[in-house]
Amino acid sequence: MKLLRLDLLAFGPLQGTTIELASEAPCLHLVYGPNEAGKSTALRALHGFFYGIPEATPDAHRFRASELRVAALLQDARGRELYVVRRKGRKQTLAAADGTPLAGADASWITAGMPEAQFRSMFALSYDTLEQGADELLGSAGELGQSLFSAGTGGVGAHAVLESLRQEADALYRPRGRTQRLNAALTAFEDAKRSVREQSIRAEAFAEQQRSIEAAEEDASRLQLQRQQLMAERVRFERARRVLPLLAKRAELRRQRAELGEVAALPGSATEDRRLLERARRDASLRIEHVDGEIAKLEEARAALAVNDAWLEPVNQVQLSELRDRLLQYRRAQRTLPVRRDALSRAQGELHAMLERLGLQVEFAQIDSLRVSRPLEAKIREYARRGETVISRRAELARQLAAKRDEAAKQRGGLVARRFDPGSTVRQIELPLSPERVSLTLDQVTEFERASVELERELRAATDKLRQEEEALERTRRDLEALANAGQPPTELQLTAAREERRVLSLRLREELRVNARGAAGGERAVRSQSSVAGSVTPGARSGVANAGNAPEAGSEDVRRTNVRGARSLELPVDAGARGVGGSPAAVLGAGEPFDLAGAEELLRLLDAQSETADVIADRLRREATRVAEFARLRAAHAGCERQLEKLRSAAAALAERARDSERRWLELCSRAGVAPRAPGLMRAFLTEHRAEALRLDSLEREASRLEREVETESAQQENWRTSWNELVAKIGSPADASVAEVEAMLTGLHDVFARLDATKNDSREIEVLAHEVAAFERELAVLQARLLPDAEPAVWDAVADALLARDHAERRAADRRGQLEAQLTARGAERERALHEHAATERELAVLMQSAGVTNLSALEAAEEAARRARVLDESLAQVQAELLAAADGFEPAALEGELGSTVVPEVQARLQEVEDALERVEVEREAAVHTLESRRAGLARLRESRGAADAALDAGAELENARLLAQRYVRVKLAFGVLAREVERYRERHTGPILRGASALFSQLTQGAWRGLEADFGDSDEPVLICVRSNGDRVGVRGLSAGTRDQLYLALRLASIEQLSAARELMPLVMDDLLVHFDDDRAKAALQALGEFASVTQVLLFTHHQRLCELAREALPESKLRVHRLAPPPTATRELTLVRP
Amino acid sequence: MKFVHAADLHLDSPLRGLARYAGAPVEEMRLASRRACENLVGLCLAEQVDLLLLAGDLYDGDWRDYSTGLYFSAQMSRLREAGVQVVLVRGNHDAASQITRHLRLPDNVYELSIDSPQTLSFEDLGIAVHGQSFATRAVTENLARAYPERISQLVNVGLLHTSVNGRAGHEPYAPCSLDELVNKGYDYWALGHVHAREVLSETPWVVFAGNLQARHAREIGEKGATLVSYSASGITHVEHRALDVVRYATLRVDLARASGFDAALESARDAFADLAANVDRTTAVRLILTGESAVHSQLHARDVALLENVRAFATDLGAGQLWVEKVLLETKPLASHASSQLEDGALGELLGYLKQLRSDDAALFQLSSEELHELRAKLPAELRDGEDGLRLDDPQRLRAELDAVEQLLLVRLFGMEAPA
Repeated sequence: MKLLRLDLLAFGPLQGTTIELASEAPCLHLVYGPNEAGKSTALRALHGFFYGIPEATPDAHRFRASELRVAALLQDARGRELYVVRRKGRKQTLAAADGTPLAGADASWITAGMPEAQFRSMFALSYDTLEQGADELLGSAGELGQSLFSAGTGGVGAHAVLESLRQEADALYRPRGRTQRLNAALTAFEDAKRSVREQSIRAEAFAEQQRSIEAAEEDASRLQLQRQQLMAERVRFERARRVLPLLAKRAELRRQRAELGEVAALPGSATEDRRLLERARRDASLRIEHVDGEIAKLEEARAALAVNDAWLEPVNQVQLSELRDRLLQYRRAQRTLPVRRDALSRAQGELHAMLERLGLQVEFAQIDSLRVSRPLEAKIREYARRGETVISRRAELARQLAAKRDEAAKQRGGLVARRFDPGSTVRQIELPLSPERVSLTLDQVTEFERASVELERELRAATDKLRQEEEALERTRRDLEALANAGQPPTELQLTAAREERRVLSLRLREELRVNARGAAGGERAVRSQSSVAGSVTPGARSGVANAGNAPEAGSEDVRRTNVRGARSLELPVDAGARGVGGSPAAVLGAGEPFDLAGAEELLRLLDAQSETADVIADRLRREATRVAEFARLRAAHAGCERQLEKLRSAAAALAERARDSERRWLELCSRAGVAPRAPGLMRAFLTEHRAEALRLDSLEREASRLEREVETESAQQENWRTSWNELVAKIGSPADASVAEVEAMLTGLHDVFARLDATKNDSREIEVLAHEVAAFERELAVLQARLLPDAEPAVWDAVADALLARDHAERRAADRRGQLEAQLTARGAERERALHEHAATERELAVLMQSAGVTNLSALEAAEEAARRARVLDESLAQVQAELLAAADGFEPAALEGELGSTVVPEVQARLQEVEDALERVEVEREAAVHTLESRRAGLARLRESRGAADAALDAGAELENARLLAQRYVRVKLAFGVLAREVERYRERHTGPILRGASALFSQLTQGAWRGLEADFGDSDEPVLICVRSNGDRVGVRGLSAGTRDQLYLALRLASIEQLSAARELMPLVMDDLLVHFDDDRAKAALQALGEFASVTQVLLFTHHQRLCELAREALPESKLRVHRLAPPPTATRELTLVRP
Repeated sequence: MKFVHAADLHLDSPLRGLARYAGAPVEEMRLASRRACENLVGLCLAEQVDLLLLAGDLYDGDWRDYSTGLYFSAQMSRLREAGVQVVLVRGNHDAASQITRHLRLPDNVYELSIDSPQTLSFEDLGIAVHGQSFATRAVTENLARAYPERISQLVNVGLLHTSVNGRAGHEPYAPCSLDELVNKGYDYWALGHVHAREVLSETPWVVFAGNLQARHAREIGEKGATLVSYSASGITHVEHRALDVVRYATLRVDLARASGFDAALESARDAFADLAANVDRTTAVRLILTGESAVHSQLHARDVALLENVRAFATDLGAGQLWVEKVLLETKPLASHASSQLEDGALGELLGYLKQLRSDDAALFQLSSEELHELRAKLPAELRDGEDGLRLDDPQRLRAELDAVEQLLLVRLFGMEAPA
């Protein structure tokens, strides 16, 4: 597979760039592209062409991704050519030149079925890959299989891959390793499994646990029973220890009680009761004595008191009480009466002054006659308000009337000023202000305007028609002139004569030709004669022929001239006629010259041409006839046009007359309206505006009239009001012409006067009341003084009053004291009665006590009481002991206990109790231990019930197992990959060492310019097959002994040899190299270029570089036939033309 | 009246296939089967059911932790307190279980006989339950055939651990035909053994309740029990209730449009984001990458990084609910990158060798023996056996591995950017 042309149609910055790669013989294609020229882009485009443009391409900037296109013309090993276009996309990205999509075998044809990986690794070389390959050689120490395989595959290299796989496998797992990830995971899994086992509770273990719990429960129960027995024993001895002293005490008490014998059943409180009774009897006696003394003292004090009961009579007390109440009021009246009388006198004086100010001269007693009643005042005020309204409304109407009159005057003045055309004729004509008359005028204007428009339209139409007819007339006139100037056509007779003459001449000519042809057939004479005829035609004869040729044309000369002048469109072959008729037979035969066969044939050809010309003339004659008919038609049309024109002119004149008539009527109308004739539009606008203004003036004047009427009405109302007003104000003493304000001032003044008058009257009445009250009080005081204190000095009423009140106070105090003493006496009497009663009651209760004790005196009663007390104490002690016994006996009958215990003594019981306590303590310890064991085992069982450790551990184990599974899978994959690759490397070495080594050896020698003789296979230190390089002097050097540059060349040699070896098996792709030799020195670069030039016979070789120097070296190293240098020009910025890159 | 039909509790059976990693919701996975069992009891209490029917396989057969049985007993005690009766039959796992043999259950739990079909009539509930437990792990006779005739006036329920007439992935224990069950005249067949819920018939109802909690990636979808309402006239309503606490899901992502490794990750991340938005409980996700893709080789070459990235964004997006169970690569190389037809050159010969190995079991076995014998000796049975077992002497398993080996070698040889 090779490229004949690469078209970078739209890719990266490149557009329409073509690299021509066709060559007659295999050669090295050196593609030189300086920086920015697009070398790298071209390389990517080339790769994209073969294997598709990557999804994430960096070349979709000038063009959108979908627009990227790379095309190439390809040729396969069998010479088949195919032009293929690659676009960027996902499917069907290849197409033939005609746009037909390529797929399947057609698509794989362009890569010769080679996968991209192989192309990239083997056929795409750069210095980086060269260096990488050289490093691989070094890394493998020249191990033969790895070196050959790496050169055969390209890419990373077998050694590096094997090493990385081995390292990865070792990091995952080693048989005896611990830290490797898989080892660790397997260990963790085993640990987790162990944990599952350890944390799993077996059913037997659970049963065992249950059994141990049951055993512990039995132990605990047994010890509990022992404990209970011992505790019962302890209780019994403790009871005995408690009961024994109580039994002894009860026996002693019973004995003491028996000694007392029968005893009166006195209550326990008998002694206390008795004592209380005795004390109460004694207290009662003492109280009686004391009360008697107090009663005597009180009676003595009551007897000493002197009270005037008459003074205290209720009648006197009521009057004295009133006296006390009114005395203060009396004294205040005495003080204020003179003051108020003076004030009253002053107020009356001021009233007089106020009346004087109001202009009223009346006596004080007659002032009330001036009082204005409320209805009158309301009426006056109502009239005052109405008067203000009437006056102000009339004033407002008068103001509005004046304003309207002013406005109407201005409007009228404006209308006069707006008269249209204030010329002398119109000045005296008043414009009609009536809307109806204006409307009539407007209608007339409209009618005139409509008629004018109609007339104008008709006139315009007539004028247009007239113009059209004039134009038509002019056209027919011009056509007629043209036809008239076309000249006269030939007559039929002339044409027939000419045709006859031509026919005769033609027949004669043909006869002569036949005769002479027979005579001249064959023979030397005839040939010579023919030659002489050919050479003897004189210029004069040819001229004669030409002249004679003009004769048939003479008749048509006029027509020809006409055509030349004015009718080029007929395109008659006038020149051809002149040429064609140039060979006239008459001229030929009339010359008497020896027969010229060639000239005769020429004459015959001319005769035919003449015939054709004649036909053309005939056709022209027919067309002339047609023209004549057209001439006649035009003449008729011309006459019609003239008649129509005349009619139209008449119609136009009539219309003009109508227009003038209309104009006259309009002027007349304007004249009647008193306005200057103007355009109807202007006139209508003026009249419309004038009508609006006139309407407005009319409206203003109607408004003024209405206002005048209203003013008159209001004036009448105002007069009526004035009359009523005067009548009203006379009633309050105001003058008849008093204004509203004056009347209101009068009313206000009267209000003040009567307010002051009313106040004065009130004061006067109050003074009278006060004086009356003072007099009444003194009269009542005189009566009281006469009855109660007749000795007091009358008329000094203040002193009398004070004396009465002081005496009253003393009398009442004495009466109060007497009342108190009598109350005390009553209380003491009652107290004495109660003491007597209590004394008798105590006596009775003491008698009852003695009776119950069976005694008759108090001393015997006391002895009986003591005996009863002792018996009662003993009984209580016995009851208490009995109760204690019952409590201590734990529910047993004391008698039964007494019988049970018999003669047992406390110390004996104490000793037994101690023994029981000791035993109980021992059992308790054992029991607690048993309970603890039981609880512990139960808790263990509960833990077992709630355990989830095994389940958790199982989950952990599962997780570890999955982790180990992932790692083991990875290990298996890596180890198998290692095994496969290692074995394949060996297989490759075994198969290909011979041929590849031979080819590489020669290339290596060539690339090193003979410094190295070649390559050999040998065995290394570990008996592994290795690559050995042989110097020109025979020295054998391993790969590690080579310089870096030489290693590069060794790898290149191996790589090229591998490709060459591959060529035997399959069709190859072009070898594409990107600045492969950038680090080669000139000599070795030349050697390499030479080798690559020769390698072009194996497959097409494309070397991309941006070093100009490499081009020079290539030209030095290779003959022209082995080298094509292509220069990539920097892409133009905005051109879409194709750039052709030529060698 | 209501009863709940559940089966295949497999209490304390660990969830499988979950390799642990940082950020994985480990705690949520713990005791999933116990919490599902508690959900079952909770359902019985919440719905105030009268009866709980358990159709076998309460425990894993090889599970020996007796605390599992005690736990189950405690849960049944909760039902006893609520007056819920429990009827169960032993399944194949229970028959083999040490726990079953020793456990004493509360008196509200009735375990049906292993010797012959037994009927429990709950007159007060208007229902009769017929059933027979597995006596041994592998019961191959048709138990249903001997089940008693229906009892009139009661709703009749058959409780049976069976594979019916065979179910993929399940041992054919207690085989019987659907017709046989249908013709028995019962109102409801409460079946166990098959872990996928399935309603075989609605007249009468023949129902596999499915297991209560999924245990591995082949048991995808929601799991739970069947709540059945009935009246004297028969079954009135049947509904499935999800009770599982952890769910397995499969997430397929087509990478046909992925242009690179990062784009592939982004696609997977988007798919996880969609999934995360729709899960309501802890979910173990098996991510399967498919499609003819340009990143086929890179995915194989960077499978470790792929897994780590997927785990990372599952943790990031899942809010503690997503666990990446596994990432499977089922992608294919683009046709333009295919190298399988290449037979010449070093690369072609390498591919040819791999092709030869695929067809030469002896050579493949020899390769495996030489390269993997050290590992084989150390692999525990748990890794060797089972569907995902690393059977290093199984040519089929090794052939499947060769595909990955090919991708690994191609990427290693030609670099990360080189397509296969």
